[in-house]
Amino acid sequence: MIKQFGNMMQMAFVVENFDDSIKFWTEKMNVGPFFKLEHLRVRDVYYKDKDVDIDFSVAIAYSGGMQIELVNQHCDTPSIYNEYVNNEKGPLHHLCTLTTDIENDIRILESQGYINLQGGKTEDDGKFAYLDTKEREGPMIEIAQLSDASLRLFAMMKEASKNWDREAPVMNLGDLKS
Amino acid sequence: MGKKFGPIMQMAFIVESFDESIKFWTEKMNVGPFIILDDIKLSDVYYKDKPANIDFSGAIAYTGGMQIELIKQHCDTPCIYNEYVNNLKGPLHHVAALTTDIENDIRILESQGYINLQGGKTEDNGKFVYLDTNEREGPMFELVQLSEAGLGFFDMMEQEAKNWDGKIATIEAEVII
Repeated sequence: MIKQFGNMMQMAFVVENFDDSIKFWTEKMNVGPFFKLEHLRVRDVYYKDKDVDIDFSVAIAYSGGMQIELVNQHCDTPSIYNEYVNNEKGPLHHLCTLTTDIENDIRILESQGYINLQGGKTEDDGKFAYLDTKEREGPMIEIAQLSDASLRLFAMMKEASKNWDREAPVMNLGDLKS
Repeated sequence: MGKKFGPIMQMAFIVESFDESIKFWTEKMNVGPFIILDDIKLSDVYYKDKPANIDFSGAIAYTGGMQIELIKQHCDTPCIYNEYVNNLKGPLHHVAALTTDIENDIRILESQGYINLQGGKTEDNGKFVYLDTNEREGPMFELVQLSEAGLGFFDMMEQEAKNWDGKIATIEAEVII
């Protein structure tokens, strides 16, 4: 039984508001365009073994092959985005990697002492879990098993970063599909 | 006049000891192998407009196309690795991008309010500079113009990650050169 997950493909930051953060990343770090996914509809979400309903939005951009994700939580429901980590803005929150067998990987990681903190499913049955090792050496790890539709969406976002004219910091998903 | 630098290709962390950090990254994050660069030899290094002699080592690994760099400073000379940032270990310290014209890019970035904090040259005349925007939204930014040899070395390290058997955590730089 071996871990199925691959390379880190996402760096994620928890932010107070998208405007300031997107301004920073597009203008200062040359990373864009960002795609906003507002009030993500996820289900079967848990945090520390309890069912939770977390209202949050994300903004995603690519820099080369790496996805930069900004997470903005709109509610006070305890989650890994607020109470779990030092809530300072700026620090790297988690790294994400994709897997083709998330149950297999969670089983292995839990057996190695990772703490399965939070997770859930996307509307189209993609699955994700955030695990922590409680070590101070680095960020949390997220493993995600995405649907084909989501993988295609990521590929489109990545393509958009290659062709970015640096004019618009934010693009709509609708602009992608057309 | 446009910026020449490309996508972010490095994430860097300041660490207290390589052993613990490499254990974390190789065992917990599945990232490896790490190539150790002991007591990196640089020239013309400055920090806040003063020449600085900083004794530090780096450990580098790749995950896909992204380089993970661990930095351990061996001396107390003030620099961006210790006094400039919150010295907590764990947080992302800086991200880096490669450029083909570092003077051009530094000029543009400085004109846009970036603070040119620290920089210098590698033994083979590669150039690097750390800039900060003093914003709390994210990490510092490093620009690097590598020599051909430097680029070749990065490629070799990336290749080591693709062929990694997950067993050996570290490789001395001399072994792959």
